[in-house]
Amino acid sequence: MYNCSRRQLLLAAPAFVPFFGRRAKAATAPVSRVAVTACQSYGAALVPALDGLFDRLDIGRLVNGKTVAIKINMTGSPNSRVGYVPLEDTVYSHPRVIGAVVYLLGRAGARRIRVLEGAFDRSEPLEEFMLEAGWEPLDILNAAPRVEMENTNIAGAARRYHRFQTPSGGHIFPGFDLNHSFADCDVFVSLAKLKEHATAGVTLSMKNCFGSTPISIYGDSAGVEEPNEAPRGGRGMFHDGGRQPSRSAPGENGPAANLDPGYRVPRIVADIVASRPIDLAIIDGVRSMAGGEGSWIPGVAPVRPGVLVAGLNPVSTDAVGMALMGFDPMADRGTPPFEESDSTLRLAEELGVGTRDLSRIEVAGPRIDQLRFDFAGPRKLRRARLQADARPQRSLLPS
Amino acid sequence: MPVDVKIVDGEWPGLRLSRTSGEAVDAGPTGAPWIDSNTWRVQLERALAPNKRVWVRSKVPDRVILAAEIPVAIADAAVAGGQWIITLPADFQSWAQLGETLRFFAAHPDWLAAETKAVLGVLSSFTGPKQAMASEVLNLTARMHQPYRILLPGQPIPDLRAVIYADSKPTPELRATLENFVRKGGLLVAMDNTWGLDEGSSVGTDSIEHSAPISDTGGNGSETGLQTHPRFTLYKAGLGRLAIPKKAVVDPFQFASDAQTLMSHRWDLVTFWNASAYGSHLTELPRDGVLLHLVNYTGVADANQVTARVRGEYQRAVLRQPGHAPQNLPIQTVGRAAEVYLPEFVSYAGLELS
Repeated sequence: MYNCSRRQLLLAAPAFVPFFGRRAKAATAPVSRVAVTACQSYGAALVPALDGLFDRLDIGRLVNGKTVAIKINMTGSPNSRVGYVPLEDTVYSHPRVIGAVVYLLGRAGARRIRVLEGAFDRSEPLEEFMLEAGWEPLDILNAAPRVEMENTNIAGAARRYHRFQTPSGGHIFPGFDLNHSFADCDVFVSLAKLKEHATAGVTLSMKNCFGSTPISIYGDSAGVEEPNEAPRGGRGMFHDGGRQPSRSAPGENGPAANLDPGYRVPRIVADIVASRPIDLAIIDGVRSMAGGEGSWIPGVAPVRPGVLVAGLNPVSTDAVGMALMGFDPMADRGTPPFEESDSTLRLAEELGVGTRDLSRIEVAGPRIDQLRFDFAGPRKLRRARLQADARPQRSLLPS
Repeated sequence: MPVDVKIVDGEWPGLRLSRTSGEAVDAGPTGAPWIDSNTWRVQLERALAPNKRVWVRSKVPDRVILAAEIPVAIADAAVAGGQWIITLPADFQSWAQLGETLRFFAAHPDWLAAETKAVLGVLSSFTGPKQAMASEVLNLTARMHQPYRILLPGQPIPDLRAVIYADSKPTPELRATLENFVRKGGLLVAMDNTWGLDEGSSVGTDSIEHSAPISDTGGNGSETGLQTHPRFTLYKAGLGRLAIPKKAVVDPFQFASDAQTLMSHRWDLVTFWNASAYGSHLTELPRDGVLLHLVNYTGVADANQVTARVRGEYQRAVLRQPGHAPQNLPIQTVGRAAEVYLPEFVSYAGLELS
């Protein structure tokens, strides 16, 4: 019989987790109320709709007197649209939702609010990125007292990174070095868009945090030894394992054995969310897009689901988000929307972040079937069409 | 050759084909396709020799030349008032398209004299050790769809928000001119990190850089622009700012990009969506309004659905392109800008806003 002390057992715990601990954690993962509401436009109805969601979650108790950091979603270039449709109506969290959330959290007593994003492939101030996208950042900065913005792709004002450890060692990363703003806050909010994702199936409040990682360390031009504070490029290493982050930050648990993006991305997202927990998850589904997360995905189209979702647990909030999209949150690899990927929800659940089991989640507001907007049906048709029409993509070159 | 003509050796305009991956297109620093263009060069040569016409000579690349590349090359020079010396492949047959393009630009002689509409100026002698870097800043700034005026030493500085000073060691007179521009509210971005520090006796004690650098007061979103920058030391004087690089500039793309951020995209005259393979040039119309030149370097009518947003209040948008009747386009008013959804076009379109 193998003989070991309790201390030895605890030290070896991460190695046992994949076999025992994670399944056990899934069964007992935390659960929290998720609030949903219909909202058909970004006009006058928006603030009351969000206000109603926040009431049901007792947001005042969460943010009163606190410093709040809000990670928004501005994935991809600010100069690339789905057709002629503004980015905020398809790809990005809508600036009016951001402004309304800032206003309501300020009204609820937040002492200081920081709006964060690792803006696509650059280190310029977030305000400048917004201006490039055609937004007016002052609308957000003036929505409450003491509002700031930070591009978290670099060290920024603090000039150093904060180390976040992934509980139980993580699926792939045992920890991450992130911009100080993720540590210098009492409440962390993920403000996401209700979208499908070409690699990870869906992108909701958890996948939004993929962009929390600084490209100075995790980007294509990251420094080998130290972060590159003038970085460019995306986070290719997370997708393909082609390289490791700057040596100043924690590397992967082992050599990248599985280079499948559908394996890696959901695990890394789960690791990020476990290492920097989300206190409030908000999903903007008023207007969005179907078929993927950005204009660069073939076959995407603007849609108007007309819903807003908020919850205190990101896994449970994303589970309700998936259900509102017509997907089964208990689905896993091989089942839509995870035809070619693992489920981020299941992987985060295994890390003890929260439950995806709808039977355990209290949904406050209209019933899910009353608000459901069908992403699943068109997805099936679109995928069948793309497979039938599988010809080489059009080049930029003249033919 | 006519005496009033200056011939410059330029690029073969178009998307640069990768030297390493066959038919793939090379990417620029932002991942957008890299474009070889002579537009900036024509603008520069016209600024250096305003009384001369600029003709661009391009060496035919050693590959198959597509018919669509010829109108693109003509437009690429014409938008800045130059002429591309027509260089055709032996098997060229698209005479009708060539004729349309030539007739189109010949029918708009007033466009040649049009002044670039800009909020940014680039000041340099464009000679000496900084010439290559200054020229590259012109090229890269144009690629970012940021129109600019080219300024030469000794010329007065027009009404601009920002000036990039791309030479080293300004004369005392030029220094005074630039500091006056700053004190009146302009942003001066020096390219030389020793600007003002190695001139010792020629720098007056009231020079801007003798005052303390601006400390971090935040306000990135405000109309006063950035107050701190990781790669620049910022000084405030009067109503304006002076930005001096902390280290020698080695990356012209980073410098051009930083200069735009220091000025702030708030003042961008033109914003595009889905136009990474397009070039642009913004000019004042002789009467009221502006003309936005657009060159589609792919040379194919593409369903990219390009949107152009032009700062200013306009009531009418007309699209003109070779071989087509003028087309009125609807304007979406967005704040103090006009947004226009552009239809497909093959090589060139001029958007008149009035």
